[in-house]
Amino acid sequence: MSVFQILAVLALTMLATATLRGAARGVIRKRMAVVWMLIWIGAAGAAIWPRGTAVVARAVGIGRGVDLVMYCSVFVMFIGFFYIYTRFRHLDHALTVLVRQLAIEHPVSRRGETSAALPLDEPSAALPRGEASAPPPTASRP
Amino acid sequence: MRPFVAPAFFWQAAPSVDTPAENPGAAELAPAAPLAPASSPSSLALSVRSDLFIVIAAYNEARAIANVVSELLPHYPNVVVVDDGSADDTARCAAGTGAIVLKHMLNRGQGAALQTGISYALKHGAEYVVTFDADGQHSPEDLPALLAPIVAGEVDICLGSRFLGHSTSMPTTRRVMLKGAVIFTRITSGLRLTDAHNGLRAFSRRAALAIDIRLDRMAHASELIDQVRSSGLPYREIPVHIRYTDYSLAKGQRSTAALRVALDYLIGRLLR
Repeated sequence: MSVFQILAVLALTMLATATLRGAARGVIRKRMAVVWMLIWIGAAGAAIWPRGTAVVARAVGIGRGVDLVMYCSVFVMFIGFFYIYTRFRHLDHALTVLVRQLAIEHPVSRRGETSAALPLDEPSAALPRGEASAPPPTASRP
Repeated sequence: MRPFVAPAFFWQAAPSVDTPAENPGAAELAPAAPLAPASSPSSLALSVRSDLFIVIAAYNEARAIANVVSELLPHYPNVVVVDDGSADDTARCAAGTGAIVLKHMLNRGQGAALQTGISYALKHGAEYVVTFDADGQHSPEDLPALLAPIVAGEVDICLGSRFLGHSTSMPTTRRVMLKGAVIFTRITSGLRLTDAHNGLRAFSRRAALAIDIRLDRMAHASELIDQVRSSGLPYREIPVHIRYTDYSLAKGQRSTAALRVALDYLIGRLLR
């Protein structure tokens, strides 16, 4: 085994361990964990047995194993970008819904009021005064 | 004995090409408490309707917002200004006029702010919702004609069109960009409109409930047209006047932003 192979396998083992741990803790969804594990195992396989990639490459009609690895990496990266982008859009929309809800429930001024009822410049502007300035509850012991 | 004074129905103020001579909604429109005298030269909407809400999305409009709101408030008591996380004093300026002011804690875009205002209006019993721009380019005088077909029950949505009316001093680049947007909307939504990106629109409650703006930023205008089509509700374009001033032009979209808006809309449509 070459130095590269040892380093690659070590790095991929660490990534796989992190993935499994993340799945166990619920940080990564189970379905995504399976996808990640397949990617790590595939990469480790290609590192340990480089000729294997050439065999697969020829089978699917790509000349060299390196090209196959390259195409696969780019493909996986595009899928990753797309996944992150859709997640980002969902998150962005969720943020809008949250901001909207706060704005509707705590108007700065209601009809006919000619002065702003709340301090506008502080982040707590959207909270009613009571909530924004209420002292933290203190536990009382008998 | 009090002399009889003919009530000034608001569609009489600024008749549009679509205004019918006999209006079935007439009884409903009898002004409850006319604010302006019937002989008022500008003759704005003369009836105070508590179920009509005007929604204004404002971002860094401290300079213009108070004027815009105070032009509307005497005739339309429910003006909802949504300050979209402005860095300036927009909310404070708007609050000083007596309007309803909502504030987004973070800037979420014009589409998001309009939806916030529409949701607020619906929650507070709005039967009619109008969207109005914050930069002073729309005239309150156009509102009676815009609302008349909806109040009369003929359509649910009225879209303002600057190309049916006449706008003062529209720059050529702006005209080209807006015509491009019209063609784009015609291709993507199939609706044959003369002006796709006019911020002056009126909705019945039914229509406002059917609208759900999810594209937070400028692409919401095209999304809205899509939803008008998919709701199947009757709509009409009404000529309106746009006042182009140096201020409103500076606040408007740059021509270079058009591509980004189109891309945002197309991606939003793919991922919806």
